[in-house]
Amino acid sequence: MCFRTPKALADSPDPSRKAKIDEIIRVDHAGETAAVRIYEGQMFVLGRNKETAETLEHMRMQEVEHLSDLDVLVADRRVRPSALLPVWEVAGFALGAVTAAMGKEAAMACTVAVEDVIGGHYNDQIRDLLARGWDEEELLALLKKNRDEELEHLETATELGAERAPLHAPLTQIIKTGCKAAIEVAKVI
Amino acid sequence: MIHSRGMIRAVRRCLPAWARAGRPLRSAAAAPNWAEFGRSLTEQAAGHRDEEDLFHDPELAILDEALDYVEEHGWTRAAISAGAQKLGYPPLSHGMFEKGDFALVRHAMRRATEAMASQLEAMPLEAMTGDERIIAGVRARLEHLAPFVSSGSWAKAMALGALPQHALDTSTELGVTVDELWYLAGDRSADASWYSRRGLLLGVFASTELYMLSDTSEGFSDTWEFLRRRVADVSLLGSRAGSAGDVAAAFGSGLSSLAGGAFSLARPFVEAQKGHHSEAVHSALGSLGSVAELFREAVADAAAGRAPGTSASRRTADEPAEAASGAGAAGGAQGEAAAPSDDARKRDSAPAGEGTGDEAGASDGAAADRA
Repeated sequence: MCFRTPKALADSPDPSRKAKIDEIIRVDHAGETAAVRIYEGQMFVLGRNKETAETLEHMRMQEVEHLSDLDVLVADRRVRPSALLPVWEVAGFALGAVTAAMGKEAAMACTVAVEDVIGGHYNDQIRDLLARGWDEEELLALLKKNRDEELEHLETATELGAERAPLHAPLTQIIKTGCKAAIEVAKVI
Repeated sequence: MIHSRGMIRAVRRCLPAWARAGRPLRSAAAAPNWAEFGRSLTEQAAGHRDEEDLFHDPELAILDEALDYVEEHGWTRAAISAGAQKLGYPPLSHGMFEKGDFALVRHAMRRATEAMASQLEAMPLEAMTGDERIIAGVRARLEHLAPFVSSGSWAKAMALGALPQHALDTSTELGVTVDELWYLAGDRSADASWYSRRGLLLGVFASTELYMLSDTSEGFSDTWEFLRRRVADVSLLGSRAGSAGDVAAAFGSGLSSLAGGAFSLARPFVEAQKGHHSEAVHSALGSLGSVAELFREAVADAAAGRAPGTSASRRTADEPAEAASGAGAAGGAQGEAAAPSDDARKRDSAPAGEGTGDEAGASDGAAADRA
């Protein structure tokens, strides 16, 4: 397919470096898109309780901020965004809505599972970039900021009762596996 | 053992006559003039592009020079070899290029895209609308290769690029061109519309390039008119954020233009290489062509909101000589590629009222002209 490895005419002395950076930005962009939708799905169902709605809205706004930072990066670094963005959006909303329908604790368990995987994913990327020794200060700073805020969400959700959710263990496992699979797919497509 | 001229002469005297080739042992005439060799390269480097790096890539230099020999030798390794020799490299330098003939075609495409980018950057883009920027970009990209089009060699280059072993590289280069053009036109999208915009522009670009191959108007004015109409067609779709259906339709129209073009252009080459696989290849290409035709019509129908199959049946009724099958289109388009006609250009008046289907009007109209 013609968009497999688009090389912009802009300076890209090392194609493999551009490919790696593209992959990082593409996955994160897709992930943040899905994360925004997950919170929107949860708010759709649980929005009536004021306190919950406030917490969810705060977390959603932080994800929206991450997403807009990544939008800028996608355009500046000439990255091809994930072709399955509509899929990630629908899947995220569905995940948020379904787990919220199972109850507030289930919604929090979903958040914990997703943020756990995403936090680990950001850590992997940061480690990878540092190991390669590339000069990518801006990108690294963004990844670190995102990781810190995702782990904050994880703590908030745990405090709000994620572990009390019904079927907590299988639910968490299924969601984690799904997220990891989605990450692998988004790296390529 | 120390070899001396005397010893070697003694050995040679013992050889049979046929082995005693007239080649001298060491000849000053055969060795290149190293001073001149180095100087000619530096001069070439200085004369080429001053803003390029100090590191002078011999491959790029050879390919640039080889473009001057395309008239004489065609898009072949012979042209690359001639270019290499002009620069003082050995004639066998074409061996550097794995892809052979196609390397030259791809280099021409890359230089054209670079020229398009630099031309666009020099224009007052803020004062132009999005459509105008796209039109200017496609025009710049195509104008850079206009000399090859006028002399008829670009059709052969496109056919070479359409061959299966090179198709992926060609589409990558086109993808880069289209992405660069949208970026310069101001697109900073990061959602599904990224894909729909590039798919649409790919279709516009491919159909315009095909149209240009058999355009004999003064300064390709008919082509620029065609381009203007195609961009006007797609600008309505391009502005919306893409839904999955939009993206599919955009890619469908883009790909069907490319497939139809590839089929019609590659067919002469395939026939030239007729050998053991000709039957299978012919039937495969034939079905590809007919699929491309039908796909194109279906997409045009979908875009215009009609039931699929309407335009196919309508066209068969109007012009019985031109079938919706690949054979007819291929035969007509083959004529288009092989012998540019100087009939009046009425191709975009063909199936009037079709939306994005008109971008396929090029080969349809050409086939109708020859039918």
